[in-house]
Amino acid sequence: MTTSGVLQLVLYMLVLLAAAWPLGIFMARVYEGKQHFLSWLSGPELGLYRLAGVDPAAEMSWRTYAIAMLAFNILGLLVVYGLQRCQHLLPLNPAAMPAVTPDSSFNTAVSFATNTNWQGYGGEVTMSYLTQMLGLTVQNFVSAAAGMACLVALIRGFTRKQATGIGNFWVDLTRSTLYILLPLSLVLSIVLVSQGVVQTFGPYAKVALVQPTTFDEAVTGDDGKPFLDEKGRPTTKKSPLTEQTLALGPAASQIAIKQLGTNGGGFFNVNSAHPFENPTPLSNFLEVLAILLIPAALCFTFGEMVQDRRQGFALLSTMVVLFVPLLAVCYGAEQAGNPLLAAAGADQTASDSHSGGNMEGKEVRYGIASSALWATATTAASNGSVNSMHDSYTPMGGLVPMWLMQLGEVIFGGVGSGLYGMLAFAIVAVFVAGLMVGRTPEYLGKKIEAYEMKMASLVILIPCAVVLVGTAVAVIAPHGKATIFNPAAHGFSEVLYAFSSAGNNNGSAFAGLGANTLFYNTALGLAMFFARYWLAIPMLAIAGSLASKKLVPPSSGTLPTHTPLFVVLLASVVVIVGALTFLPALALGPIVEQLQLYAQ
Amino acid sequence: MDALFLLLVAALAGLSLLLIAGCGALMGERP
Repeated sequence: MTTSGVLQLVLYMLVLLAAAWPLGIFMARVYEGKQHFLSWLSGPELGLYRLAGVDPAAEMSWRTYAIAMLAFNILGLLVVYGLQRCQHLLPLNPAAMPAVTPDSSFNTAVSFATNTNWQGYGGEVTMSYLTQMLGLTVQNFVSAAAGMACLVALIRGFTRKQATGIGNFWVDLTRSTLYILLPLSLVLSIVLVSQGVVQTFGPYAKVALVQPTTFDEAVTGDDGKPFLDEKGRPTTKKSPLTEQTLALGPAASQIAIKQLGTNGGGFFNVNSAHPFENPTPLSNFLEVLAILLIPAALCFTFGEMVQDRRQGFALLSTMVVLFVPLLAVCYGAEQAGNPLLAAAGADQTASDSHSGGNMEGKEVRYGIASSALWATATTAASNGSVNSMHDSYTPMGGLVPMWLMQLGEVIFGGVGSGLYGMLAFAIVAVFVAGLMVGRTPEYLGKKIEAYEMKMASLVILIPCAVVLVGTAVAVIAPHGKATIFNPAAHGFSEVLYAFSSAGNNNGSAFAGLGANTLFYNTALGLAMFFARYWLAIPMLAIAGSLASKKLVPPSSGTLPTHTPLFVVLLASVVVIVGALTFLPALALGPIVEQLQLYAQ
Repeated sequence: MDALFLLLVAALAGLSLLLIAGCGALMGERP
């Protein structure tokens, strides 16, 4: 690791925590309906309720809340599906993109509705501007807002006493979007445009090449088929290449929310490695900051809403305690480089003239530290955007993002979903502690009983099952094996990464795997669906159950949940569950790859 | 093909409603 690299990472953590604190307090005021500096927007908010026929004062039971969330998301999913299938008939399609295939449309619709943003397609060669804006960007907002709404409902479960309601989904959804996501996205979009991120409805631009070149163009007949030579190979001719098409579009507005809402779906295929998505070191810093900003801030929101800031700080500390060592491992592995190249005589030592380490798949504009930071942040959160190609990381460097996803994306995690996942682990942690001392476990004054444990177990086990079963099926089924292009352990790593990503609503990819096929589009689509809604539903059930309970005053047998001891206990539970579940699969992929580096 | 995927979405929605019902039924078991 280099001094400048370490300083970048330290600066990042400091700015993140400093920015998260006021934002977290602001969000608590938004959700509690208190006065805040954007209260003047309450007119449009109430207008939206009137328009939709929603009574904002009406409380919902957890079932009604869950059904509203599910119905809203299914409707959004169908709209995105329809937009893709009909984009050739709709306006704002200057590049004349044809309709997207049904399986890819299904995959993308589920992907964006579930806040995953797995992309089996290349944006600039597949989607019209209308699809990108009305379909994908809108889902970026509302899928993030739905996650935040579910978290707020769970927090109310902890704070309410013998209540049947956990809030109103439509109110939480509207407030998340109107007061938090839209203003933050507007500000970030404008800053990104100032850095050179494109935002235009104009068609793709044609520019003259600075250095014209030639390419081998296939010679075809009238039927469009290539002429073959005497050896059966296609004949080609040298053709001049003097101009290039530059893909443009309304990118900045999508990129701001893609980072803030932990969505991650890029406007362009190479995501945030594209100079029109992420042009400068400053844009890179702001975008990676935006990835963890709201998830970190929600910990402060939690502390405010449960009226004990120490509780939120303990959860945030747990996240930081887990995040920083994993970031160090990823950065250290990438900066150390590839021992096989070192043995072959390549100089991988950092110096004034080059960054050293493993630069394959990384942008020289960002270097190793910023790339490793992004890879770690994007998989700790359920973001999934990339500024470097994770497939080109060293095995140990690639293991970190993969394992971060497999831990359930609770280390910061997705907006809302990360913290409610961490709260599921907290419930397990107090249960484990309760078993140790022989007391009924409590968390924030609520007794944790069998029902909450069953639901928390579902929340923790469903993504594990989705990832492992999905991977197993893919490496056995002929259609799954057909598009694994890398042999042996790395091919397995790619499949495991894909299902870890889909099964935890992340969306990043190891690439390498041919995933835009009927098999993977459908299988990964199913994984994303179950990973999102089949976790949110049990969490809302926990919210409903907790809300109906009495508050128990703390006693001498109550485990304090704001202490360093609880932070260690909670972090241990997260790590032990993640290690026990995924170590065998990781041993077949990145671990054996790392060992192979030293075996040859 | 479109009909198949729409059917799949409907099935997923149906299964999710069943999960809501299942979680609700389990909650009812609590003494």
